[in-house]
Amino acid sequence: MSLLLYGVIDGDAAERAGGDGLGGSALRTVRVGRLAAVVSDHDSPLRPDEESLVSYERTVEALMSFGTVVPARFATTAQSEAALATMLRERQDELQATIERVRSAVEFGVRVVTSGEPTTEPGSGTDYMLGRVAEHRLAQELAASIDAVLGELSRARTCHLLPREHTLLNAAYLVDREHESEFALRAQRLGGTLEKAALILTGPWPPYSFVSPEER
Amino acid sequence: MSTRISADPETLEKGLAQLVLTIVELLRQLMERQALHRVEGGRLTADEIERLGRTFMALSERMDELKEIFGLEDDDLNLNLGPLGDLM
Repeated sequence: MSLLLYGVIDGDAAERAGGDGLGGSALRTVRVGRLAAVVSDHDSPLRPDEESLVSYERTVEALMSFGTVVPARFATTAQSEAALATMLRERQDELQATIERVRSAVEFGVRVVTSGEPTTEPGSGTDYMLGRVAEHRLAQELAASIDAVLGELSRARTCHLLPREHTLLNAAYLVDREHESEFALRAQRLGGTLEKAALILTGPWPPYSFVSPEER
Repeated sequence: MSTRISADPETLEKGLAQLVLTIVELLRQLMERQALHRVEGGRLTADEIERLGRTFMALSERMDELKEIFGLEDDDLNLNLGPLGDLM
């Protein structure tokens, strides 16, 4: 028997938290100090297949309705309640700081992909290189203009330029819940102004991109 | 004879290919990013830019071929580094 961890919430919210976890398992909480871990019991090892990932993500999303959640990475497990409590106790300060950082905020994903006809194959190395340079410049300008509109509504952001082919940028914004609808509205309006590119807005998500130590 | 690890050779091979290609893709992206800065800096000759471009084009094509052979998508070429986040 092992425990699957979904996320960490405020201890005060522990009594309210409940519902179904992965594969219909029952959620329960383990309290450590001012924090509570939301877990379910599992016998067999987890498989990182699509069904599990979707079920896991839905569970973490549902936890958002009970208050602020620090989502765990998929397949974080502990052998026993005692082992989990020890792990949480060791990271208590860090987790407490993280929960404060993302308190009452959600994550939105903003991705800009190139659309329209596929670009013609570059004829020479110079074409290729200059094409990439132009794309990089475009991505930089886009990131700046998107930030100019969305930055003031967000607490933090991450942005990767040209993370892969046909994607100009991939950004994540940490947005106060009270600004949620305004953020979505502005993002959609921004998308309408783009040429030969489409803006894909996703969310609200649990603040996945803002709970790693390096974002501090 | 019983084996302690039940791993299907095909899955193992794909897993290894995924790991190796992820590292190669990371290096390719880092090198390309550096190359972009150098081209933007304007200190490369036309000949150097042409050669750089050809190298990256060839690398990109070869990556596409390898991804197809091993049935991998762009999204597969990433690593979750636990508390450090994603590799790319």
